[in-house]
Amino acid sequence: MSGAEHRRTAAAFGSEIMPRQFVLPDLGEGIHEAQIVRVLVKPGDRVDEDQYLMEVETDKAAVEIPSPFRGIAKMIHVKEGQTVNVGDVIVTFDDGEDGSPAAPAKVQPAAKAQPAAAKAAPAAAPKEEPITAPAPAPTAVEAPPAPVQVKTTAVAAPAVRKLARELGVDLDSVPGSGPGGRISREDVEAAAKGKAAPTARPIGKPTAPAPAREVQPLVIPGTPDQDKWGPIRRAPLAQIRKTIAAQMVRSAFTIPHVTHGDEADITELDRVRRALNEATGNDPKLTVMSFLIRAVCIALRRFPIFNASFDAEGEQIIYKEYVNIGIAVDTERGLIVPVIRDTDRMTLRGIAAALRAIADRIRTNQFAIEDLRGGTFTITNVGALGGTFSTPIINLPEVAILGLGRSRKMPVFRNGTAAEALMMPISLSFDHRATDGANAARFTREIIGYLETPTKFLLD
Amino acid sequence: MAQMHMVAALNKALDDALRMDDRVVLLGQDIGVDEGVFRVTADLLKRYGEKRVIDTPLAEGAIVGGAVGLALYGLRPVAEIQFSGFDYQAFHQVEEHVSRYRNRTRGRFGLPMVIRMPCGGGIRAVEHHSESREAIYAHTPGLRVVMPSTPRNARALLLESIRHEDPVIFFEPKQVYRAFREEVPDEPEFMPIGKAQVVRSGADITLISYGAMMRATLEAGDLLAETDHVSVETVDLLSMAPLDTESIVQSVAKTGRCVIIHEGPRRCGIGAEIVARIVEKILDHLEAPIRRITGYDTQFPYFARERAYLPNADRIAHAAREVLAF
Repeated sequence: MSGAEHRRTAAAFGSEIMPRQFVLPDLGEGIHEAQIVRVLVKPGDRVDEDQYLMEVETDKAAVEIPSPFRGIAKMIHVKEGQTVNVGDVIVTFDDGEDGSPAAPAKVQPAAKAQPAAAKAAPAAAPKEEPITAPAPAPTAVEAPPAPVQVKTTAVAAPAVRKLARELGVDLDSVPGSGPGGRISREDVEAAAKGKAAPTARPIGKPTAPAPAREVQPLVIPGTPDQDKWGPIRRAPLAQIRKTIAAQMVRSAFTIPHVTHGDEADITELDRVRRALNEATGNDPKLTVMSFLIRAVCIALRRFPIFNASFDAEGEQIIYKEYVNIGIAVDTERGLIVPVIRDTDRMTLRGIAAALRAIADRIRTNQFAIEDLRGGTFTITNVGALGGTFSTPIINLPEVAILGLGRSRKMPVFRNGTAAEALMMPISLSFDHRATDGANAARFTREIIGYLETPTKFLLD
Repeated sequence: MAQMHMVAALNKALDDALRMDDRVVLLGQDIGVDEGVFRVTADLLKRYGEKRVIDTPLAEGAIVGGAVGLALYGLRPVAEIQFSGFDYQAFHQVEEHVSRYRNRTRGRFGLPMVIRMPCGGGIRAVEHHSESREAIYAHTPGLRVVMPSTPRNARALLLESIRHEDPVIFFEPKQVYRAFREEVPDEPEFMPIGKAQVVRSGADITLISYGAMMRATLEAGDLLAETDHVSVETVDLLSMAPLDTESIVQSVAKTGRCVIIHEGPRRCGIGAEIVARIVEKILDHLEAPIRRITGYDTQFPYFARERAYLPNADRIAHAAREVLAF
């Protein structure tokens, strides 16, 4: 009789909704089924409350079943002679301007009932169980009940479910980090911090901490409030901020970060660059960044571990046989990381053109989500705004990120004599699960080798 | 104050009761001249005479049925069943009369009587001498069912049971009878029936047990605290009926994790009832499934295998670790 159970549950949620279904009520005395002797209404009949709908016969008595409410009997689900279980839908009612169900149907013994019928008399439908139900598809007696509530299929302990409810997190959208995809407390908390992050594959996979804006806003946004020490303002997080926050938390608290610092003497590179730009008429304009990207691509070929993903669950390294360099850029809306596809197959010119295309799109704010996906290694350049060394946060699922500081003229020694050199600080953060410091130093040195001796680019 | 084991503490409680209230009478097989099979009634016949300490025939139905009559006529009988495994001859009296008098008379007459029964394994006894069937009694409406775990709480619970106005089934975990000694004060102490005790307080996991299994449970708690640095809370039920839902729920709501330990079989046992109440009351606080470490759903084995049947600290700690790691 599980069908009946379902319907009762459904009825509890939706008894106000038309059309309504009338189920065979509990006839009492432990009777579970009844045979329909006579059906007293036709489809389309207007039925009054308490009007007899049908005559049924149980093991004990023949009883007439009155209608619990007024309305139009839209569909009769049973035939004479048929055996019906308690809880089965027998009539579907349409509308009825009087929607309020009358008191639960009283089952009256039929006039022609044998003496035993008297015993069936007190068998009213149980009071606490509404006998109406919404009818999503009242086609068959065995029609499945309306889905009352969308149930989550997520796997999580009750306490975690409660936390999710409190934080307003939809468990179905949270990736579970536990065995069998079980969602942990931490997963929910991370999802709450980044709210939309798990569902909408984020626009803008952020990387390094956003560099401070040059101009501090004079007016602090948000609504005024007060704390113990004085006036404050509360500003809700913008979507991109939430996304960045979630991604940063996930990366910073998953990856054991190590940042390796080094410097490149780009005096010669800068000279070559200017000369080339002069020769080509800045078409396209070659920046230090173009060279750096080229150098990184060449170095990644020799150190594929930095162009990979660390799969902790599968206990494997996933080497990417393509190189898609992501460039972290500061935009009006926040940090985003557009990706240059197959960067390793591009010439210096191609890279320079790609960089310019990115700059154009930033101006017009035209990034498709596709443009921000599939990166294998990220470069973040805070140098334009200043700074030397930084500790960039890796853009998961990548394993490394290269941060550039501002190039500046420094005194260096060349063959024992002090000289002026243009020095560029480089910070490489890497996932210490995937590789070690020695490798990071070698990788960085490989890049610097190209930057310091630009003629080497001719070889690759 | 004196250091004593549980047998001596129970003897002290009976002595207190016979001295303080002349309505108290003891009856049972071999409890007078022979001073009880475990010597719980030592010296009492000598001290109080054969009208207060009554040797009965080997007839459990008569012992309990007789106690019902004595209680109805205003005495406070304390019946001893030599081993709980022998009580089934008396179960007709227990179910049909002992548990029902209060209800049958619409509250007017109770039966102020106690049925003492040694229970549980661990002393390498023969068949019918090692069972833990407290769940059968806890399942029976109208009975209070208690089981002490130490000498001191045994004495206090027995005194409370004897002065109670309704029947109490008093299980004595015979594995603890002479297992260790504890300070028991000279002055009579009473412990309320239906109240559990938090005997160790902690934050990470709740271990719930009672009777003889409290020792293994406390040992597991020490193990977890020392080797796993887990903060363990331990609850001693003391009363299987009524069950102290509030204390249980309070503890598990705090820790979110729970392991229940008892000697009786798992199926429909006290642990199952505890799980149900936790789930009914505080589902939202559960961080992990509740585990039960219990006797197995088989008859209690012959004594050579009883160590394999009884829960021990390792089994408990293992389950606790799984619950903690969930």
